[in-house]
Amino acid sequence: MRKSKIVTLFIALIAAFSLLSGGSIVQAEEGGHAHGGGHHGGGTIKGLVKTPWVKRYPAIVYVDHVDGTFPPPKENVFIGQSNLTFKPRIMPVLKGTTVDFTNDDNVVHNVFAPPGAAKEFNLGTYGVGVTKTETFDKLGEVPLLCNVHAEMDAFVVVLQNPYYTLTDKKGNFEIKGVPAGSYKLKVWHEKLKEATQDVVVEAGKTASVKFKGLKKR
Amino acid sequence: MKKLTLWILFLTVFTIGVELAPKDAEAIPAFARKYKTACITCHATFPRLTAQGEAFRLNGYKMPGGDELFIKDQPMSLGAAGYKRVFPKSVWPSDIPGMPPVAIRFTQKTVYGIGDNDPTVDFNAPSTKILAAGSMGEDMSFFTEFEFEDEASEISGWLMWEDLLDGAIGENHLNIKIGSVGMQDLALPNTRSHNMITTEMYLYTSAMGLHAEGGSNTGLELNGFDKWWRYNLGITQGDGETAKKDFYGAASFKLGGLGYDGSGGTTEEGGLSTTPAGYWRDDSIAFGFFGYRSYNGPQDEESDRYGVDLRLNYRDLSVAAGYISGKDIEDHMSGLLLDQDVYFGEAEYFAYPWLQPYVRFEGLSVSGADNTSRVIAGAVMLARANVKFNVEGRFYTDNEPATDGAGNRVVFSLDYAF
Repeated sequence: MRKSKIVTLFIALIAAFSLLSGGSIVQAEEGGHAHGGGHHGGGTIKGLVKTPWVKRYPAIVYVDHVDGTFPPPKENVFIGQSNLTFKPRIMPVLKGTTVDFTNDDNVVHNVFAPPGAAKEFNLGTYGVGVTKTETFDKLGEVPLLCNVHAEMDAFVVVLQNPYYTLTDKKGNFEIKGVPAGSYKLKVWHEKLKEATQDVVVEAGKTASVKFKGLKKR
Repeated sequence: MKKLTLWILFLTVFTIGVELAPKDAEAIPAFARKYKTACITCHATFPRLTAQGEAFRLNGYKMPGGDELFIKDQPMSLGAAGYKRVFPKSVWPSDIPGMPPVAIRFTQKTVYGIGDNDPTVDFNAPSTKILAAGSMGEDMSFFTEFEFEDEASEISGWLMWEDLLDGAIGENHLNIKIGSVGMQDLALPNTRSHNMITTEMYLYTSAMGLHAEGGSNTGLELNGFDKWWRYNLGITQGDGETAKKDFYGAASFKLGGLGYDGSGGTTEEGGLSTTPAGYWRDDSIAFGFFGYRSYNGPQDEESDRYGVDLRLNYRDLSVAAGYISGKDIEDHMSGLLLDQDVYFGEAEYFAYPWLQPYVRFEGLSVSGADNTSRVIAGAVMLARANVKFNVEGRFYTDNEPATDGAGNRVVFSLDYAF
């Protein structure tokens, strides 16, 4: 519990710092990791993913492709395992990001990505306090499972650029600092089929997008 | 003509209707706990199902349109959904109810015989049912019932595997149910004991040997549904002593109101036609038919049953009618082949959310025997959402049975579930 509070505080500080510096913020679930990025002079994409599912599970809204190269963060991000759950459960990452999988529980855990994942891997079974790492270098959805505790699951969604965010419980989202241009804006959700909308971003302005009528997978 | 006049008179006097959307599930408070919702979400008046309740039942005890969104008591996972990708190297993921999905229903009747044969008052032994039902993951559901009455007991249950073709021919168009199947899924399932507003069994089913009381025989059934139609095809062990099996088929269609799949409805919101004081409303017409071939007795006496039914719901009034033609094909024991016709008309009216008077007229004619007809009239009163009382009379208009307890009577019934 104490560790969780420290992590939450740390994340809040990073989020505050990033906001003040004008970068975009990725809202992470359950006190997860924030990802900085952004483009000075860019525009904002703001909107709503209209579905009751976001109240239970957040959606990831992301710009599908932005020209240029986007280096992954120099420092690893992490997904913990405690109380037989992955924390955070939903994590969008930039391609090339390395994730530390910590075992913060008092039992052994395993992390593997099943067939059909953008990247299939198995970190094996490991004990309390051990950390294993995996670099996510292929775009797409990577479900995570634990073969010791079949009920545990999480998702890493590997993206091409840093212009992404998680919805809040009402489905609202905001992506700041997007370079001016025309893009495909997409929604990923673990229970819903992918949806796409065209969006035009102008520097210093806010483009509004609303996703609705999303179908169940 | 006399019967018709009497029937019209009763309709006029009681201004009642029949609520006969197809239904066949027990009142199971375990669902109220799981979804933290009141009984009336699915029942009006319990155990009879509302259109929403029927959609919930058909959908394998899951809320149409995203069951997970409505669950308050989270199920216990038996494997994350991601394990579907691992199959066949893993067990297919599922879940079980978070709390034990068990409920209890208690019924006690006091009977006042007013016929010539038994003018007595009897406090009948109560009956108790222990019910367990729920869903297991996205595509399995189960139902188990233990019934105890006096010194007798009965057990029934089934498991349904839904969407066998994973939506390839349409979602929920092909499901299989294994276990106790049969009468409860025929065209007019509300006539089975689990869905009756009345305390009196229907001649419609009981006179035709369609297992109305127990509701089922052991076997398997294919069924499916869409917005406006549903079907059942089943084969069961039957009552014979040889290997011959009963089989049946049924289809129902519905126009207006909430679809069998939970979609549609007639309000401006696009949902079920209802108001805070009218959760029972489902303006619609439904009709159906079924056929049932059975083999009974030690030498597999063979008989056919064909039935049709019609149901109309309009605001606070429901009416329904049903007819079955029964024909013995072969009777090795007596050699006597009987033709039977049974019919009923029924009406029920929601005077208040807690008070529904009702009336039913039903008749039976058997070749070579006197016709039987009778009127069932009464009212159901909810003391609480899960506690109800019935006051009901049974009056024969033709051929009152001479057997003790089978003639005219008035019944006071207490029924509660928790």
